Amino acid sequence: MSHGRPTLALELCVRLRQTRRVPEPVIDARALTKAYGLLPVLRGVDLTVETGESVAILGPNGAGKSTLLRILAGIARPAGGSLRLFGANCFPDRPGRATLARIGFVGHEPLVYRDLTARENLEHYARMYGLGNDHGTPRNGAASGTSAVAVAAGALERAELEGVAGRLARNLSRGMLQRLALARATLHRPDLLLLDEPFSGLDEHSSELLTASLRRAREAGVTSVLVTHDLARLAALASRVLVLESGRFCLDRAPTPPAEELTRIYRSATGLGDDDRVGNRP
Amino acid sequence: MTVWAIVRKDLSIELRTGETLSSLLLLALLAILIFAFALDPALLAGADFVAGLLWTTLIFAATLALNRSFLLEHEAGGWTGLALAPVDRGSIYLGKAAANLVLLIVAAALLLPLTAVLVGTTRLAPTPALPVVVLLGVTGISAVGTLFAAIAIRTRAREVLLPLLIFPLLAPLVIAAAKATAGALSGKSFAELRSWLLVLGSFDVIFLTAGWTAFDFVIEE
Repeated sequence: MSHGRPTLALELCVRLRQTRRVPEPVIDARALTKAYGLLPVLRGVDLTVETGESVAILGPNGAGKSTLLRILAGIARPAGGSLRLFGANCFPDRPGRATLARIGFVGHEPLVYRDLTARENLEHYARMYGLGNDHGTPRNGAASGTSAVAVAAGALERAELEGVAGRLARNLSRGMLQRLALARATLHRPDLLLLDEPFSGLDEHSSELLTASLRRAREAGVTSVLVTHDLARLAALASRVLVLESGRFCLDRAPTPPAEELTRIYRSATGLGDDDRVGNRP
Repeated sequence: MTVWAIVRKDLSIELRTGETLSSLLLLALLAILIFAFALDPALLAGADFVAGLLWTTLIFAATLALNRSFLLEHEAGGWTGLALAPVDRGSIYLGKAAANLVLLIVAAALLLPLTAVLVGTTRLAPTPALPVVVLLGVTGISAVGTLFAAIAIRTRAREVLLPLLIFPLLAPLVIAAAKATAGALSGKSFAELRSWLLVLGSFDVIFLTAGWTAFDFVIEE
């Protein structure tokens, strides 16, 4: 009985802390490592990203940016360290289905089937994400009466691809493919968007459309991690910038400085010369 | 849902392009023709030969179809798209295996009568056990082939690696399927073929279970 009051007080403290608990970061990576064969790619990456942050990762080729993004997306498995996404353990455990359902990923490739039309691709991914079915039964939070067909139609409209919905993906231009890739990645309205060089190979109009889509996602509170060499767009989209070099972060700056300053900071952080690929867009 | 989504996607692509089934059938047909011309006609007459020829050509042709099935996933990053989806990865395996199974069933259904006609066999008395034997046999090829094609597709020597991996594993299946098919073509009943059917069924269950449980590791980088 003598221990009754302290135990009760302790329990109350714990409950109070739980009710006032600071939300878990969206990404909480500690000492992540990864190697391909004998080649180390990530050498102890620490990264914490809070809800609603727009983080940009810069770095020279081979720094490990894409590998890090693939690990965060649950496609690749790190060799060591710890990883929590949305508060759930993702390494050494594997990311659960509930965690994967909150992630959208745009990679180097559009991740679409070339012999399916734009509409069929999106309908396929809608089914894979459990977003309704063809009998109109809602699943995974899809609106009542939503079918995979309707989900795909909505995504095509948002991506301004209705005009080419019936065209095979192999016949789409690079810009259209990239918009289709973004439509695929945001089909399930993810809370975390991972984008690996989304502007590469796009013309100005397609880049503008993509930038507008990403800005809308940011305003909607979607957390994003963007890997790009396009410093002007990065400065406009990201609230924080990190520089990854040789598998480690060597700079973490928030808020993101203007593009000109960013170029200078990036070059000094990585020791790159004027002839490097990373630069400001005209 | 996941299984059906993958089957639907794979078959939509196949219906549009026809690449896998046409190349599978063409290769099998050429192999049968070569055998028919190269071997003594007296040897070809029996059900044993038709059954053996069918299953050997089918596994050679199936490697082509299985490779193609995963190249489809590989070429535009569809494989990554599947890995990103919040689904049980075992059901991705079952979906791919089911889509491959449909193609193999169509191929076997066309090749069996064609083989009999091309080798000039007239003394066949097929029983109702025949479709069951064929179904169990192609299910085994699809179960093993899907799992190992998913492994081989990540390597540079994928075309060479797949047959090297699956042929030794498929040996017991081919023996059982050829014996059971020969029996079913010679008028034997289910009861008479029971032991071979049991071997085929067990093979299918073992490899479908193995594929379903192991696919989580296969799909990950």
